[in-house]
Amino acid sequence: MIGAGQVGTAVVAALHATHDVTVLDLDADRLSAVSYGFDVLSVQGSGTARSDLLRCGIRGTDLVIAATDRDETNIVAAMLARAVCVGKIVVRTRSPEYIEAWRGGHLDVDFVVSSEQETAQAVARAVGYPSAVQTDVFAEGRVELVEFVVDPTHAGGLVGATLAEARIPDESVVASIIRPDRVIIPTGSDRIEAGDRIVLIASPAAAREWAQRLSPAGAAIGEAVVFGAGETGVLIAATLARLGLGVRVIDRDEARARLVAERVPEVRVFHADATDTDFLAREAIGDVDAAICCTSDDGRDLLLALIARRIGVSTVLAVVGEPKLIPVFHDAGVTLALNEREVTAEEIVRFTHDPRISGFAMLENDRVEVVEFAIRPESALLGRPFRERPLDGAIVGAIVRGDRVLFPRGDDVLAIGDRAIILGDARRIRDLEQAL
Amino acid sequence: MSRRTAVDVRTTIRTTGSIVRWFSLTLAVPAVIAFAYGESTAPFIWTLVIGSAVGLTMERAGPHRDIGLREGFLVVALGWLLVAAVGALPYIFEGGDIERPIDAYFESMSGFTTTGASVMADIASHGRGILFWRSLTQWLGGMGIIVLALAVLPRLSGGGRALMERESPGPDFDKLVPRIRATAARLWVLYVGFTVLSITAFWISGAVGLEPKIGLYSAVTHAFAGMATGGFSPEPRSFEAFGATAHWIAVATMAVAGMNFALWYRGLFRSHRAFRRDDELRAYLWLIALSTAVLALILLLEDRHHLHDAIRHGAFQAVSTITTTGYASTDFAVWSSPALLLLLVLMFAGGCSGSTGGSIKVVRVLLAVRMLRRDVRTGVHPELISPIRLSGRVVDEAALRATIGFILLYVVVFIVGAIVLAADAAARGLPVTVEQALAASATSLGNVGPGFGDNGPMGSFAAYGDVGKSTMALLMWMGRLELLPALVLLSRSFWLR
Repeated sequence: MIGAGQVGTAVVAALHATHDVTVLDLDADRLSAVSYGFDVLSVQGSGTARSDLLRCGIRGTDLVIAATDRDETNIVAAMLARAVCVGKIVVRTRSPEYIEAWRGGHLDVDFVVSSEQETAQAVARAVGYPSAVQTDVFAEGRVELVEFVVDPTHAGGLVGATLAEARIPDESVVASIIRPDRVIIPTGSDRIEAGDRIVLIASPAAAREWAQRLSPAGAAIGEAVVFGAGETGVLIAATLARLGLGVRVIDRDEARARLVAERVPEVRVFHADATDTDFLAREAIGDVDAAICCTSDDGRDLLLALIARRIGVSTVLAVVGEPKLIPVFHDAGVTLALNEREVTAEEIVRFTHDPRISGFAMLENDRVEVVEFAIRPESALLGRPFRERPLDGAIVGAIVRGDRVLFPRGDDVLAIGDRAIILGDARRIRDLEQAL
Repeated sequence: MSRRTAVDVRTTIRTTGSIVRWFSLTLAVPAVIAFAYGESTAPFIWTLVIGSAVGLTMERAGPHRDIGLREGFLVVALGWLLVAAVGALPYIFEGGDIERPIDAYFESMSGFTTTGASVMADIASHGRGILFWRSLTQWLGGMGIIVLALAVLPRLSGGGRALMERESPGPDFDKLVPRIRATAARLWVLYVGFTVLSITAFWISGAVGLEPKIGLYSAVTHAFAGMATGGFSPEPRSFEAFGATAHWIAVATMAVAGMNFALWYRGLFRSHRAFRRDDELRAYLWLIALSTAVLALILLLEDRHHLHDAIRHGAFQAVSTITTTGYASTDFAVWSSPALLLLLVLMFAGGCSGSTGGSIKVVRVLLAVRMLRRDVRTGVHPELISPIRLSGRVVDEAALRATIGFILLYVVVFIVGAIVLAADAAARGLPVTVEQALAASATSLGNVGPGFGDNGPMGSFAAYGDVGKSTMALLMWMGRLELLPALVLLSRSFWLR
């Protein structure tokens, strides 16, 4: 475990009982806190120093987790570890940029997790598709993977009909139907039944359409406001905007506000103090369906949450810096309070519990994997229309072709240079890699 | 108290000398043409000798040093003035109806700045050599004489950015490749390539009998002045002399020339998506389509033409004016006021940044429109932060201020120019209307060419006095260099430390 900060500590807390853990950190105080709290070996040193890594026995480890607060430190540590150790390597990053690099195969590690992205996804699940069990994003956020439970009481006319007959939203592919006894990679003749869990690969807008069909009427959220334009706030705003929500961001720091406005053209950004009730009234902020407080100041977040409740916002979420304060937020009427580092640690632990996974998203205890492949000129699948079902035990959920994303239908074919997002049986994925 | 000037005058003179000396060599081309048609080659040979001598003398002024920001301003400003002076000599030596030096200078400046305004009262009286030279000056000035010098003269590349930035039209200048010289060379190669295409198209239309009046000479001269968005034609009646085929070829040539050449390069050689992403190009094409439609409608409603001809003349004049070329497919000076006013407004649009066109440029107009829209929005939502984007990229506020400043300055210079021209005309007892004075100022500053009334595409500016002509030449120069280099020279802070 490289880095004994909040994420590192949370991961250690979850792992120390079942694993032999060595913690490496520069800071003696943090190390002693960890070593008093848990039965682990602590080593003082730098994750970017080869000698320090070797000193804590990195050669023999099965799993290296680089989870300091600095991206570059984590990546250098991971690169050094890769050179001497055969185990799995997990990198924590703050920038979605590195996730894209990793998915593109340009970062030789086994798993990359971004605190901001995980938090944004958690918020998106809560606000964007309340009925979703799990979500993940691909292709710079243009493709969503969403898992739903089909509730029989409001299945939106999807239950019973075959997939070929059912009116499935465009830009979406039902990639998998999960029943207690088996996982189906569906064809047009399969049916969705009540109680199924279904996995969709879809554009953000189509995923939301599914969510609205599968959730109780009136629960849809159309407008959201994000208080605070930090990195997490920006990512939350961008994620929600991609889902088709009307998003407003408010920050009292002009430079930050300007930065968001420049980076996320789809959202409306205000440079204002969100505690200014005149401003809130003028812009009718009370009419939004959801408010997300993420100013990186817990006290202010709490105040904003109270104000949001007071002016009539029904769903209030908060991103909290100190996990111990989460109950206080709940008392204040906050629907969901998240801690970034805990969310990140949970994601790392989820990966750690099954180190056999090498796919980029895992569903149903490793029975199904989702991976992203680049289609090379020698691929056996080039030019074959999907209606011939060229893949056995797998389904192409989306094709990223330059600026466009296709959600393939029977007549579409794969072309050289495409990136295909494929869901398949874990055992088959290796064969697929050969075929593609 | 002695204050030394902060500008390296010797290096400036030396560099300008290099440009003049090199440029003088281009006079060999009209000399060959004149020889081929059995005309006197003396005007060109003499100019070549004089130009080279002047250039060589200037080059002895000092040691070679790299050019800084200030010298860049000065070299570009002086280079254009001096090259126009050398280029004026053949008109004087030829001894046609241009006799006075100011007339020759006007014609030469109008050529190099790709304006296309003329003081030749009787074009038919001039030889083919001099008319070829007239078109060639436009072609050389179109992509820029400094850019050309940069592409050809290796020694200039030290500080080349300072030079190229001053000359390249539009608010920002971007390198295509790491080296400035290679960038300049690529732009010129593209320019030559398009010109060859245009020549071929004109020539084929003549060879297959669609345009019986077009031979190789006509094809080359019209492609030169069209590609440069210049507008000089060896035909006294401009494009009225030709038929529909030639008109459409000219429209295509001008429209291509009015696009950003850096964008052409990226779109053709890197990814064609560059075209689709470009906001300025979209605005430019919309502007052409809309103004064509409105002009055609006016021509139809006034019963001047049938549908086909109305569209053709509408498109021709719209493209010619927007790109600041100044060719005419018909004498638009006789059109009604609504059509003329529309053309006057279009004179302020100009082509895209990085094109061979003059005037304000579509991108600046586009940015100004977006700023106005933003002001309306922030009027309702005072706390709203809404950055202005261009082709998906945020434009910083300093650049926006500079854009507004430029447009304001442009309008001020235009109005002052119009007043001076009206005063000059009044002093000489010329019957110049307000509309004409405004058009004369706009057409000079925007490097368009023809004005209204007697100054129309079939007329000339010969009747104006010395003050009027020098004012127009000055406006052309300022317009081509996009005001700033010209005005900076007048500021105290430029010359002093």
